[in-house]
Parts: sequence; C-alpha cells; structure tokens
Amino acid sequence: MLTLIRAPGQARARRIRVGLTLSLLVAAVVAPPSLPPFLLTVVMLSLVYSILAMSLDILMGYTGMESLGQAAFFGIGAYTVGIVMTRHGAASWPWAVLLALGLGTSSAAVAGLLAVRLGGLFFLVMTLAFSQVLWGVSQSWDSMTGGYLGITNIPRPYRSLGSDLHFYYVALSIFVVVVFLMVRLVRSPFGLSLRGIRESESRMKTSGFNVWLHKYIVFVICGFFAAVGGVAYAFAIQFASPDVLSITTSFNAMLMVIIGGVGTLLGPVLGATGIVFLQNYVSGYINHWIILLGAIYIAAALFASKGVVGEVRKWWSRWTRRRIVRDEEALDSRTSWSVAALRPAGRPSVESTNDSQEAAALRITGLSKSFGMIRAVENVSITADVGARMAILGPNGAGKTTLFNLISGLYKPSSGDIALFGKSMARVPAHTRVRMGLARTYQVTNLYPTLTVLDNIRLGVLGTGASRYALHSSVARLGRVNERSRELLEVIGLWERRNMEVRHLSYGHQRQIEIIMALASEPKVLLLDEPAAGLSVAETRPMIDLIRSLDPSLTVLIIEHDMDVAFEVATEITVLHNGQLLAQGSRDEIRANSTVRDVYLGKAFA
Amino acid sequence: MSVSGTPVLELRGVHTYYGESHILHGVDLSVSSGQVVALLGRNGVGKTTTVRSIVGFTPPRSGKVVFKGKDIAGLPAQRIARMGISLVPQGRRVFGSLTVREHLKIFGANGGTNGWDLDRVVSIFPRLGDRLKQRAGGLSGGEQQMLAIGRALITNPDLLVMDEITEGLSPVMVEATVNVIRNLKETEGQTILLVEQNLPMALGLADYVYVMNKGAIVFEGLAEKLESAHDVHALYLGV
Amino acid sequence: MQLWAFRILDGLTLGGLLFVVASGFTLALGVMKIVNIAHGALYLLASYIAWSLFQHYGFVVAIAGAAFAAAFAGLAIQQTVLRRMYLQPLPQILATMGVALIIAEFGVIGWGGYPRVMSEPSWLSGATALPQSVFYPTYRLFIVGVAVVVALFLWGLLSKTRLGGLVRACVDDEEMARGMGVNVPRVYAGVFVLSSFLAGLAGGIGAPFLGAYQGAQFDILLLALIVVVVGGLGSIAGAFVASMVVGILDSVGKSLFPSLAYFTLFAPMIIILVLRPTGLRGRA
Repeated sequence: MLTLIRAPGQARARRIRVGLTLSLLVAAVVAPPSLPPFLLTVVMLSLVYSILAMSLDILMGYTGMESLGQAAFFGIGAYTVGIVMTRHGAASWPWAVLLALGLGTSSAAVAGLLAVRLGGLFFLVMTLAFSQVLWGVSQSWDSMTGGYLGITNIPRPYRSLGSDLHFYYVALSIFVVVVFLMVRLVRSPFGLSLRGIRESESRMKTSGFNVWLHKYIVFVICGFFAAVGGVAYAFAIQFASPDVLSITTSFNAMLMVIIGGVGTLLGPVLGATGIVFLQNYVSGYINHWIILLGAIYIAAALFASKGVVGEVRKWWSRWTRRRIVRDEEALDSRTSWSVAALRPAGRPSVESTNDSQEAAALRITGLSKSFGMIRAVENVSITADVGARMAILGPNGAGKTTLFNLISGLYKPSSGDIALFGKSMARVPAHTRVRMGLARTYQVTNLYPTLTVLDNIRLGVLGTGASRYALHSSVARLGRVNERSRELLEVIGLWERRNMEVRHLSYGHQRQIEIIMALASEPKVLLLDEPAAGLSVAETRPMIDLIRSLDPSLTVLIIEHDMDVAFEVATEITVLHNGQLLAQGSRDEIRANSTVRDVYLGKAFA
Repeated sequence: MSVSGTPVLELRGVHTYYGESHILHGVDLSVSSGQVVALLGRNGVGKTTTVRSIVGFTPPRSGKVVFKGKDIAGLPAQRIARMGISLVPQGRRVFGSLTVREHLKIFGANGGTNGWDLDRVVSIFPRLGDRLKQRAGGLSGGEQQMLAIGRALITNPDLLVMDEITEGLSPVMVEATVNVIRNLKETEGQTILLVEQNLPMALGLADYVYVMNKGAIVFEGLAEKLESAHDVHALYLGV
Repeated sequence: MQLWAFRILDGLTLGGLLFVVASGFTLALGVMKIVNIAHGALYLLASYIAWSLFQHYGFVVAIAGAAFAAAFAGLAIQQTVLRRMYLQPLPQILATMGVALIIAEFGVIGWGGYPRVMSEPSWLSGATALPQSVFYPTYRLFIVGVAVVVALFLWGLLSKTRLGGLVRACVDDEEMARGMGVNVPRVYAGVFVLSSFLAGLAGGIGAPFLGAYQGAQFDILLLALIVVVVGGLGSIAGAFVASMVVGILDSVGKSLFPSLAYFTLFAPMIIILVLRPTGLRGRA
C-alpha cells in the first residue's frame, strides 16, 4: 500500500523555512550598524558573490549547463561601472549601470550564440575560453582597463553612499530584488522547462520545446544577473582588476554552488558566504591559504555531491522520519482505463479536417539515413492512414528506432521525405513536428527522473502550450495545464502519486507515463517505441489494454519486439531488415510471408 | 542433464538490471568443455543481457557466474577476458580506426594456447589477408564479421561467446560462418556459447540448447529434442 | 620584409611551444574526456624545476628532470584523484582546478613570487643564419625543432605501435576494448602520464623563452584551450595546425594591435567555430 505522500512534516518544513528567511532578513537589516567595518565589508561581498553564484546555479543546477565562464559577465559589469564612473564622475551612475547591464547581457547574447549549441565538453571549453579571452583583454588593454593594476577608487553614486554602512543597504536591496526575481523565474513555466532540459533534452524536444531557444534565453538571463552582481561588486569595493574576470572567479562561483547545493537558490548563498568568509578571515591566519582553497576544491569534487542544502535535507527527512516512498507496485491487470479522458475535449474530429481527406496521416517516401559507412535506414517508404494501427517489426539493428528518430526529427535524413497530413516535415525541427501533431515514446524510458509525476505531465502539456515561455506566472497557477495534467494522470490512476519523483515510481508505471506524456501534446500521430519493453508477462496485459483504448482516430505506429503485443494491437505490419523494407501487409499476410519467416522468424517453422 | 565433460561456465540464478529495469530473472545455464551450446529466443527476451552479464559489461545484481570454478560475477570485464572468455559481440563492434592487422596483433593471448595467431586467422578468412592494412571502419559488413571472429580467436579463449553473429549477413556469408564454427567445434574442440535468433543454423551446430523468454530460461535440452518440441516453437520462438 | 619574417618566425616559435603543451592537453581530452585545468600548472611547475636544475646540472638534465617531474605529478594526480571520478567532467574540472591552485602556490613557496627565467645553454645561444640573410635566435629554432620531433613521435606512437593501437581501441569503443582484455584503467593512467610529461617538456623548453611566473598556469591553459578549440577536441594533427595559426596570429596581432592582443586570437577562433563547430580536425 501507498503511504501518505504529503506528510505533515512538509507543512512544518515550510513554516520553518519562512520563519528562517524572515528572521535572517530582519537580522540583515538590524545588525549591520553594530558590526565592525571589516565584517560589514565581508557580508557585503557575500551578498555580491551570492548573486554571481545563484546566476551560475540557474544555469548549471537548474538547466544542466555547466558554464566555466560566468565571471565574464560579472567582470564586464564591474569593469564597465569602473571605467564610466572614474571617467565621468559620480553623477554618471545611471548610465554606468545601464551600460554595464547592457554590455553584460549583450556579451552573454554573443557568447550564447557560440556556446549554447555545443554540448557537454564543448560547452565547458567554449565558455572557459570566452571568459579567459576577456581576462586577457583586461590585462593587456592598459589604456582602458588599467592593465594588471585594474581600476581603483571607483566613486559611488552619491556622497551619502560613501559610507559602507549606507551602501550595504543598497547592496542588500539589490540582493533581495534579485532573489525575488530568481524565485519567480524558477517557479514559472519557463523555469520548469529548464529543469526538464536538465533531465532530458531529447524528451523536451519531442514534447514540443525549442530546447536551444530555452537554453539560449536562460544563458542570456543569467549573464544579466551576473552583470548585476558585477555592478554591485564595483560599487561595493570600488575596485575592479583582472581578478574579477579570471578563471579563479568563475571557478570560485562554481565551488560556491557545489558546496552550498546544486539546483537550489539557497545553496549558492550559503556557499558564497562560506567561501567569502574563509577567504577573508582564514587568509589572515594562514600564510598560504590558497593551498587550503585547493584542498577544498578537491574535497568538493570528491565528496560534496549534494552540498550543504542536500545534506541538511537528508538530515531533516531522517529527523522527521519521512521516508522516501517508493512505489513497487506492478501494473494491475484489473485496472480499467477511463478511455474518454484520452480523447482531448475540443479537438476537432479528424474526419472534419480538410487535409485528412486527401492525405495520409503519415507518408514516408524513400527515406534513407547513413552513419558514416553504415546505412541504418535505406530507401524506406511507409504510408499510414488516419486511424491506422501499424506495427514495425524487425531484428535488432534493422533500423526501427532510427526510423522513429528520423520521423520525430532527432536525426536528419540523408535523403527522402516525411509528410504529416500532406505537409512535408523532413526539414522541420523536432519541436515543431510536435506542434504539427506528432508525438512519440521511447524504448528506454525517457522521462524527467527527479521531477515529480505531476511536473512530468505538466511538461508534456506545456510543450505545445503558449505559456511555455512565461516567466512571470507560477506553474501552480496555470489552470488549463493543471486540469489537463490531472485528467491524464487519472486515466492511469497515478493522480494520488503526483508528488512523487518519477524515478521512485515502479517501472511499469513509468512505462505508462511514457505514453501518457506523449498523449499530453494531443497528437494526431503517435509513435510507440516498444511500449512493453522490460515489462513482465503479467504487466504486458494492462499495457496492451492501454494501447487498445487509444482514440480510434489517432494514427499509431508501434515498434514491438514482443510479437504477442504486435499482433494484438496492430492491423498492419511493416517488417524492416538491414534498414530496408522487407514486407508490408496485414497480420495474416505477414504470417504467411516466407521471406519474413526466413529472415525474422526462423526457417524451421515453415 | 546430459552434459558431457566438465562445466566451463555455469550461471546460477543470475538477476541483471539496466537501471531500474529488471531484465534477467534468475537465469541458470551451463556450458561444458568442448560443447557448442545455443541460447535461443525471440528478440528482446534478454539474450544479449545474458551475454553482457557473462563478460562483465553489465554485472549481475545477484547470482553467480562460475567460470573454470571461479565466481567471476562483478569482476572487471578485462579480468574476465584475460581469464579466457572471448566475445564476438552483437553488431560486430570492430575498432573503426584500427587496421585489420592491428586487430589481429595487439590483443595478446589471454587464456589457453590453442595456437591462434594472425596467420591462422588469415588462413581461415583469406579475405582479411588482402585487407591487412585497411582500417576496419572501411570494411564491408561481412568482412567486419570475419574480423570480429578473428579478433576473438587470437586471444585463444577457453570459451567463445558469439552473439547474433549472422545478423545482417547475406546467405552466402551465413553459410561460410556456419562452416567456420563447425570447423572450430569439430577440429579444435572449441567451447562455444552461441546466441542466436537464426534457429536452423543454431540447431545445426549446437549440442545443447536453452530457450529464453522474458528474462528466464523456459526450455533446455538436447538440440534434437527441441526440434520435436513443437509447443516450445509456437510459444517462444515462432509466430 | 625582414620585420615580417621575424614576426612569422616568432609566431612559429610560440606555436611550437604551444603545440608541445596543447598536444598533451588534447591527448587527455580526446582519450579520457578530461579537461585538465592543472595542465598549465604542470607546465609552470616544470619551468620552476628546470630553472633550479639548470643551475647545477645543465640543460639536458634540467629539461629531462622537468618533464619527468611533471609526469610523476600527473601520475600522482591520476592515481589519487582522477581515478575516482572517471567520466564525470565537472568533478574532474573542480579537482584539477584545486590541484592547479596547490601547485602554483607551492611554486610561490619554493621559488618566490617573481619570475624565474632560465638561461639558454651556451650551445643553443646566439643566432643562426637563415636564407635571405635573416639571423634568428638559435634557441627559438630549437623549440620549433622540438615541436616537430614531438609531433612525429606522437604520430608514430599513436599510429604505429601496439600501445597506440590500444589507445585508439579505447577511444573507438572502450567497453569492447575491456572485453578484449585491455586494461583500460592502466591505458588511461599511461595517457595521462604522457599528457603531463608533454606539459613538463614544454615547461622545460619554455623556461628560457617565457620564463616561470605566477599566472603562467592560466595563460598557458588559455592558449592550450584556444588551440584545442580551433584544432578540434582530441586531434593531434589539428592541434599542430592550430598551434602554428594561433602562434602566428598572436605574434602578428601583438605587434599590430598591442592592446587587443587576445582579440586577435579570439576572432579567428569565433570564425572557425561558426564555420566548423567541432574545430578544424574535430570529430562530431
């Protein structure tokens, strides 16, 4: 049996969190006048570096883009303020700030164009190279940047802000505003899309998200926030040197995030405060404190996978005895599907649309795909009519999944065409195909493992919705998205488990979510890649029922190894072999086809 | 069980997972010295996972893999290979940037001393002899398959594991491959675990047969016995 | 004309030194997918050691000692730290950053904070006459010579020897290489040691040329990064071409626009990346 999901502990945790935040804020306002000047400066620096670290964490923790060059935008902010303010005086501050934020953001826009399309190592190397080049420029462009010595005595906007105590309150206000904006961002539909990208880019693409654009936008936004941090830095310590652009600053920001806790906003603040305090206090007592910092780096790499916040959470849940609920249930063969919910309301029935009368739902003509020497798919033509149930069979390596990757747009075909309701989409990106009415599932479960069941389905619904770029509203307030998500989850009886992380669901339930998530985009053509893969014999039955209960006007292509499943759900069969079409026909025709037997089913059964 | 000779390889209650997905549900299997044992079953029933569990690519989560009397479950793949198990993998997986000669030279002898070397491999696959300097990435599918077999042989394994080696080959190549395996069996006494979907070929070569379905062994017996077991055909192998 | 010849030669010299550093960097990156942030620090450490050894034991011992010291340091890093974070780029990057900080700080402790420039050996000092009556410093020509030797050595090692074959097998299909009995962890340790050795060799021959100074650890890293991005991740041939291109651009750029030196490096990098996202010789 399933135990309660929202334990009372969660409400208590929330209350404690709010209480802590408020009391910290009160302390941050009340305490400073009584602090010694040096401590005040250190606190101010902590706020500044927190902004930088949080901006990095939205990239690496939320979106999964591990940038090694976040200092670039921080440094541009600081240098611009320094250069403008020292040349044009205190009164020029509005221009200095605007220019700093503008330059920081626009250089992020340029760096993003170069780096965002690159994956993994390339992204790391590219962002590092970008910031290193700016660092090099800051050292060598003496007339502008002051070279190695940097820019000193940067004036603050008003004489009254000359006092560190007064400026501290400015810095605190900037910090509070930034945190507020970031919290909004993280909770928005766009913020949810970022976490989806972190978990699975391919699933996001085939749910309708323009993954590149989302990553690019967040890269620029984070560049902006880093520049805000840089502006605050320049005013706070009234000094900018190549250090602010250096690899050390980028890496320190990353260290702060990792020590504090990746994927949270609190973590980077804790990490930044910790490192800034160590840097400013310990360095006074230890001669070679850099060695200690190096050791902290190595220790963080070896041990700090979840950071302080992660450890505290673990400790908290142990203390409140809230165990992670795991769902070990196998699929229940007695489950009956509320089929009606699978037919989205308000969608015009297929018969009434014009294009469906003259065009097949899916028409593939002469499709080929080579990887180097290997021809994975060769000259394949398939036509599926509206409402077809077509199984695609073939031995391993026959090119079945490659075919699905071509249809769904994850691969570009070497030649040939794919048309959906008469419209060619061979050159259309994957996410646009989803909006044209195509959806797919994956052979190897491809969900967002650490997001909740509800967020998984929400992302499925959001992908084709207008609100996917919304930055201001909270996901929890999106009426239509949440209603539709509830409907879909109720179909498979998982609404009760909506707050569980998907990875804690049983495998059978995850396989169902695969299908429901594809249906969330309200497709007209559905590609199912081995829906029963890995299911036990008993669990296969409810999966077949789920597939059979799909809207009859939906066109379904299904790759299946399990021939019982294939013959039960499909009326037409296509057999692939070595990337080529071997046979096509009805169930009985395929059973009787001798070539198919030889190749696929074995000669012995003639 | 009518098994001749001593068991070289024995699987006992092997459970293997890919992440959360439970693929093998307690596989028991035994291969004796000098035997050719076939592992049959439809696509996707766990045959390749069984192979991966044996060679150490995907170590079992529980159960034993006993090879020459030692439990090798959980050992690194390179240790297992050096103990004398050699794999001809599904999809051939030759090293694209290595020449044919390099494939047959740089992987030294692991287990026994059956005397396989470059010259002997070339003598059974003369086509490879013409292409010694060519990179394996540029070979045809059939040539790659010969190379994959040759590469496995030059380590002089005590057990040769062949995973779907006829997949994607032309009928002529299938026949040639069958002849090579028959030769290995009859003149070398090579112990072989043959994982196949191609039933006639497997039955023609194997002494003993296992049939898998949904991650478990559902039939075992002498090859002749399977040929007459029509219920097994209908349930687990055919349409 | 002569001035331009000098600038090109200066560029080739710097390019030669860059290649020796970057070839090691790209080797670790290509074979093991490690972005070794400490690569420049190993270079710096070797420069310091070469400087010290040169005082008493002469040039050859200084260079060899520097290279082997870096190789040994690389082995230590690999065995104690990197081995535990195989194929996890972020922990590897953080840990090697920590190592870079520690090595550089030991440099400060052992050799002081100011630059240490080694002298050239007497047999390589002075100038050599080139055609067109151009006289060019012999030591700089020596660096270009070392780069060519290293390039030939690496090419021979990777394409002609058994070890090179095993390395390529690991790159092609690591799992299958293990299945063939290749001790992949040991191959990787060997590659990392070779990579560190090359950083050390560069630090040694660079000691009379650029000198050992605080900051070199990241200057060198930056140049190696640009070379690798332009040349393609993991490509030795690409690194050779890119090193020469970067070297010449740097030397020409510095003389034409002294204050924008790094932009003259960055602009071509952007152009190449726009045209070929994986670099000159990169694999997708």
